[in-house]
Amino acid sequence: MPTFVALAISGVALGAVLALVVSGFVVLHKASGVVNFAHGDLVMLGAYLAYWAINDLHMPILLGYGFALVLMFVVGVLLERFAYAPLRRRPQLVVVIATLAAALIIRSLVSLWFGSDPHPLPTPVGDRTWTVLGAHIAIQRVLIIVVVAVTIFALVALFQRTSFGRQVRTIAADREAAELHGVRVRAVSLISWGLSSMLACLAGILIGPLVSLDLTFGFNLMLTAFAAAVIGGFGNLTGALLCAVGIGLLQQLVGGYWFRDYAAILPFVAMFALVAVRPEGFVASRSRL
Amino acid sequence: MSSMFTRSSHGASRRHRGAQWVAIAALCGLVVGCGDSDDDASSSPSASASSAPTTASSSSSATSASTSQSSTAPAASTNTSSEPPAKIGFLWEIKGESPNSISDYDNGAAIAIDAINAAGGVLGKPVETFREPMSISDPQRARASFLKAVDQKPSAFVGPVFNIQPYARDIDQAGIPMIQGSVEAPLALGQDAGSKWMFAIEPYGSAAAKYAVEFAQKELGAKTLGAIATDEASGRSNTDQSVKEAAALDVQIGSPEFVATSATDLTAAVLAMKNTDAVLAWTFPNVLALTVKQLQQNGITSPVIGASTTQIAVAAKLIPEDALDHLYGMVPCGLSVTASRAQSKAFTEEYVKRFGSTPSPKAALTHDAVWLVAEAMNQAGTTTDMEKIRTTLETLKWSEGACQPVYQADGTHRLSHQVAAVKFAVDGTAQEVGTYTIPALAAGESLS
Repeated sequence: MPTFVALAISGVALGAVLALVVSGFVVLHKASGVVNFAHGDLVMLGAYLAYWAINDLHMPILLGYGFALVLMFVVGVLLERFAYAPLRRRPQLVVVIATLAAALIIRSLVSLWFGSDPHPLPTPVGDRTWTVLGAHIAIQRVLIIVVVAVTIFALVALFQRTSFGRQVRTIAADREAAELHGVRVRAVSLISWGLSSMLACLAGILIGPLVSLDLTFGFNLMLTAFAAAVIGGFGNLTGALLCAVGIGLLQQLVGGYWFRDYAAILPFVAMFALVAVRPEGFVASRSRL
Repeated sequence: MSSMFTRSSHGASRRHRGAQWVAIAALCGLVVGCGDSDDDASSSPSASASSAPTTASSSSSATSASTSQSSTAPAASTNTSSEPPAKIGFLWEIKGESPNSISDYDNGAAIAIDAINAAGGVLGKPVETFREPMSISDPQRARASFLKAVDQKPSAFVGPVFNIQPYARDIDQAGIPMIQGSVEAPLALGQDAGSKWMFAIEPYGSAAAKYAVEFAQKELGAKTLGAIATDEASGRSNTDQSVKEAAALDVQIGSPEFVATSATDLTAAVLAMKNTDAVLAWTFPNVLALTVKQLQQNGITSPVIGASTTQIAVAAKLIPEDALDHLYGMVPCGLSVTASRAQSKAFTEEYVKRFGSTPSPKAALTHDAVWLVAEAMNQAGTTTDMEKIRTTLETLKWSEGACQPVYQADGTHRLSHQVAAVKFAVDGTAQEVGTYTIPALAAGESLS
């Protein structure tokens, strides 16, 4: 029983982080139609900025996190201006390649700034644990679940109840029609890029204390989150979130009990298998998100 | 019109000839100006016989600070010979030149060069050095850098440090003695990529895995071991070596847990270590830190034994302080200011004074490699006869190093023959708690 509880909670925590990463993907895809392959490196950059704020600028931990989130909003806006806006009318493939280039640039800049050695990101809860039904659970994992749940609720409220959310959904449905109806597409695009970057930063800040910061941890999370987005139906936030949690549980439970050596590839095996059955994604596309 | 043409053609002809002479003069000027340059690849000045010796990057290395090392190291020959000054080529990047580069090698070499020159240099003349950044991720670029370094006609090379196989043939053809810092097994003499010109300063890569089992059994009293390894070449080969050694020593070892290099949760692998007496961790530093933390969080107090990545993880403060007591590393040497060997102590003190951090075994090994080539040239009495320097390196026995107690090439041209088990202090210094002697191997043999 303790093993099952430990693995289940680990799975939900991992799924929560993936949900955060995937929500950043989906927000951007809805607002601008872009699949941002720099998203994983934004996860990494956000965590490193938090490390810099806390370690080098000596900010308190929570203030450092907030500082990193604000900086990442600015980074997102800059990315929109330099990697997306000039290529807005070009084919999608060109934009995708531009985001890949941005990813490489971000990674190189971070490596020149911080070097290749891993770095520890502090957390307010430290390495403490709770015991739940005999299983030792890192409090950081519980924190991840709580913070992500709150964030996702806020995001859903943003999409459903605000003017900005309506505009994003309008653009996602028909961009040209939205422009004709006076939706300020460029402003929405700018804010969406900033918001997407902040979500990436939050994911990096939450998972960073568990794993140590290195140059590739964000990219690997992004790949797994991408699988969740594909399974859930790209552009469908509800589906992607549910599948992200599902993938976390798959990796930890199935990977923990039966396919331990192959846990890392289970999300991608699931992606191929499930997409073959239902290419449009597993959640109804009539979702309002 | 014809006169115009005539005048024009004469004028054009004169202008054309004039331009030709200008071009020839410019070309001559270019040839003279470029000439036979000694400039090195980095931005720092190259050493010359008359100027103070420098190495590429260390900001404090320009001063020829003598260290206590010089009092215990072999005195360089003070007889000024007719040989030109020794020139050693350093083949590595320094921090900032690429994502994975570190300055440990350069820092260790800087300390050695300053001490050698303070003791009189090689054959009575200061040692000259240059550095060529060698990419560890782009073999083509590394090969080009190596060929450029060969053009500088050094007496010997120290480095490269990683991923050398792609240009091993060029090293063999260059015919310049080299002490490299890699643990790649195929580079040993008698193996596929080996060369009589190449010597290795690091102990065998699999030695850590082999002796970790013996350490666990004899020093920690372990009867059952667990193994967690990252799913890549060195993780798998270390695990295989450990499994073989466990069978030979009749120690039980459970089914190894292979984890992704980017793993963010090792719950399943860690819970599998519950009933073990010790855990072998052949992982990258971030995964090692995660392993140690999750073992601690799950109340598993089995000691963890890793390889040289333990040193990196401790130095980067990735390991919680209260977990250090259960962590051991199998490394080429333990370096601290309280080390029992005077040379290790002196090197550590000098390194901390100059660079503000504890040295890694890589820095110490590079330091010793520089001393070894200098000593080989002194004993051979030449800085230009490559064959003599090479054969001297083959027979040289040197016991004044900062890292290993004795350096002597075996049949595979490996110079180091000891692995140390170390425990770590909070400041990253490592105290030796056990040492293991690696047997000398014949050419073509490998460590079983």
